[in-house]
Amino acid sequence: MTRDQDARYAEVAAQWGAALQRIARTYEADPERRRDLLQDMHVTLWKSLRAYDGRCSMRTWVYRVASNVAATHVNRERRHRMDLVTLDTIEHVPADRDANAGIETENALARLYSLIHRLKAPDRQIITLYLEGLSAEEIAEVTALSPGAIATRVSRLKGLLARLFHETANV
Amino acid sequence: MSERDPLQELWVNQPSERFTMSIDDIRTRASKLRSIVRRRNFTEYAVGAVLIVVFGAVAFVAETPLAKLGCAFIAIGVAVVMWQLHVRTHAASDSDMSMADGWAQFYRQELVRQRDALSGIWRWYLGPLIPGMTLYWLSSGVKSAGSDSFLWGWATTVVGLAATVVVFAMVASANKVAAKALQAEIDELDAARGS
Repeated sequence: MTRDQDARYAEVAAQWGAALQRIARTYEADPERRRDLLQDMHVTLWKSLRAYDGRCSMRTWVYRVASNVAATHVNRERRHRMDLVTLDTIEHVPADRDANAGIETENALARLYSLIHRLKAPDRQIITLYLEGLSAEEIAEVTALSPGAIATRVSRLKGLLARLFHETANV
Repeated sequence: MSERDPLQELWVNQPSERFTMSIDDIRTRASKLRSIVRRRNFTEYAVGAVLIVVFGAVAFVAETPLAKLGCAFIAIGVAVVMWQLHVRTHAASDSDMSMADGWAQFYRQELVRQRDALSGIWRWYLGPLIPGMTLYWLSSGVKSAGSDSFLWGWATTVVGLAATVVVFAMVASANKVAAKALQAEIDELDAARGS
């Protein structure tokens, strides 16, 4: 079983290692703590693979484990930050000054991360998984949020992103 | 969602940092994490054990029966708190088994566990210490009854009890605020799950 687990982990790490990095970055801005979070994700993923029974796709499994490790990583102070907002109110939040620095791609990514870091947990989960390319059904499977809630938020999110990046392009 | 939009393309193609973990690294890290948890638990239990021994010893040498009873109750109270910490830590480590649950389900369980620990602080943390603390402070006043130090003895009782009440109230109040914030987050999560 351990050999299976190790081999399975190696495949998973090769295929989704970059996705784990991106998810870690949505939860932790500090590079050193992000590295710790990423290591914890890999360790938990490796341990969890002993219990993988194929009831969901490996992709769903990986995103679930990564999201749950990230959720436990977020400490009380971070979770109780009063300046976290929902997708409904984010439009009224000014962008970070840092987000306006750098070349175009970096600027766009910085704006995205800036947006994600300001969101409350459910919206942060949904936007991250949406950007990862998961469908609304897949996001529902990973998050256990209702498909209706996800469809509504993804639709709102698309509009928000379109407006946000259209404005950026016109700056 | 087979065709990605430009933002999704940008997102998944962003440069990633150099990061690899071999199986040996994984095992080392897993072992290190277990050691950290063991060390933290050991420290908590050691502090509890020291308090139990100290108050147990004072219960034997204290001058009055009330002071002896107070110290004995404090030692018992500390033991109850230690047992509760053990139960709650065990419940938290059990959640490792549900790491592959849906995120909202997992996250809600974590929030509920933390909210219950905070909102029930009177029951499992402060409450068990109250009988012992009360008896201990009362013993000063009772001991001084009928003696020259009558006023001093009761002043010690009143100040001691008041200080205990203030500290416990501050701890309970801070925990109540934190529990309320957690409940608000649970409500938001429930709204997101149900809508």
